[in-house]
Amino acid sequence: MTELQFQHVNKAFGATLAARDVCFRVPSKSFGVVIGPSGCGKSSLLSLAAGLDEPSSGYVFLGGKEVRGIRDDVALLFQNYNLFPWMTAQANVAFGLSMRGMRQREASAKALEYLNDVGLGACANKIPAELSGGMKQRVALARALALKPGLLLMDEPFAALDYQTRKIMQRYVLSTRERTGATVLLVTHDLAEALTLADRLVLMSGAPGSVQEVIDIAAPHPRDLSHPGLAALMRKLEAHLEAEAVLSEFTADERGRMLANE
Amino acid sequence: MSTPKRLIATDLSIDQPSEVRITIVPPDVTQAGTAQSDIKPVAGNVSRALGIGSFLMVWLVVGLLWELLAAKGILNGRVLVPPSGFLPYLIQGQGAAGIGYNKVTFDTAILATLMRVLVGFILALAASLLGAILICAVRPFRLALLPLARTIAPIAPVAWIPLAITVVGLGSGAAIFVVFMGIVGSATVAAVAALDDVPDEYRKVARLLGAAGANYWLRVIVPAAAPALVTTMRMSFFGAWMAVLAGEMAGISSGLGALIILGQQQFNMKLVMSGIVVIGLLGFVIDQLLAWVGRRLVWWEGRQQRWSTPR
Repeated sequence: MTELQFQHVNKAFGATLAARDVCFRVPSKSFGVVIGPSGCGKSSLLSLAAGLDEPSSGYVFLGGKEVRGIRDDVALLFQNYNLFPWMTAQANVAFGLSMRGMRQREASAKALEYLNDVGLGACANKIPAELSGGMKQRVALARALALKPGLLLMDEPFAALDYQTRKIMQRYVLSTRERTGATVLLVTHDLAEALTLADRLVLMSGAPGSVQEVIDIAAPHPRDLSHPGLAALMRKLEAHLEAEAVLSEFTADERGRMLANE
Repeated sequence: MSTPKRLIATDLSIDQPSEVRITIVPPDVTQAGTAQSDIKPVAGNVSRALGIGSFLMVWLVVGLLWELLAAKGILNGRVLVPPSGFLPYLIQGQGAAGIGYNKVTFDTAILATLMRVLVGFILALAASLLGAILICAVRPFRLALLPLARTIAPIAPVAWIPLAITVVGLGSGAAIFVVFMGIVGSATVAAVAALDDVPDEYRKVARLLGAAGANYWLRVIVPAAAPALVTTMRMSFFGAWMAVLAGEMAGISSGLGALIILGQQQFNMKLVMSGIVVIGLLGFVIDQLLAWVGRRLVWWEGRQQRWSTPR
């Protein structure tokens, strides 16, 4: 069981409050998506869930245990892939396995299996600079999945990809989630992506980030975004993000006064 | 060029409100455009040959100009001996100064200087890298060693010569000491900056993948900083080369630096000019050697460039 839970989490960087009283839950084996404007602390939430950072106050629980530091069963996927440029694709995937005690030879063989899974077995000896954006992200995904994570965190992983590759990767992530049973938390500002993937959608407001609404979406995959229910939700979310964009033009004090007058 | 299939116009029916008008515009193909096959990439070995060619050409022009000015009497050929005066002297191996036990020849001077600079340089680089890793990895070391390195860095190598001669005595030990002290501070400060500049994302990924201790530093942080560390290595060599020559000129009475000082004292300007040319050429060759080593150390950057250059 790898349910992820944020309980009254506040996160400040110096005098700046990035996230305020964040409370939400991503049930075990489900696909959570956090959506919100830039600077609403979405990525900070992932760092907290990964154990790379600590909340200023509040708690993050994973599988019922408080997250305190890095755990073996959590993997994080970044927008910029963050593959090590001095390692081949195979060595990148094998790195995490060897760091967790697997013998180098065995780790290399296992890495090749995971690369084959993402359709990149033929590119095992290529370095990241010789791969396209989509291929790099697939190697990064193979590196993450090789660790057999109970929780897969993704920080706008497809934002730098072209439309077709993004669609292919979304389908791949969905099928991988089905196969591995991992809990997923993805951060994005792409509405269509959020509605395509999410079982649970966490809508955030900006500066400081706070949870506006948590929406469960029960719809089979692949989803038709022109379905009346999803289309209506899309319009609602668009309206929210547009309002957030207008609000972002004002200072925090002005925003507070405006919200108080509503 | 074939016209692409117009998917939207033929395969899809688009129901749009009446005020929305969508027009499919045919591709605008200009015949005069440059075709991909017309682009001629410059191969890596061609650009390297161009570099060597321009190097030789520049020195040929400088040499010819020098000869001309000396022949016309504009330059004093006895002081600024032209290449036709000192090159045969150098090639025939006549370069020597002093007599008896104190006689210094070119080959022994070159060997002594090279040995001193390489030993001092390698020891200083190893100490700098180790020190930089300790400074970056352990907070108390940063507090203790970094101010020390920053204080040593601005001390000119020649300032260490009196101390070196007093403590180690005349000879190779003193020269190695001067080289070591002359570059260890600045190389440490530069290496710390290189390690500190490693992107946070690599650190996060390494930690998430379970890297710690020596694995974290040697398999992630040092390779990530390698391009900047290689630049530090090459810059440090110039410092080391200047330090050893200054040391040999200012008291350690052997090696290339001592040879040209002896040449000056005996007004043997052929020897002085030959010495200067040998110092320049050796420095250039060793720098090229270090550049080659650097390319091997950061091999992935070469593959990256090949990939991003049109072939």
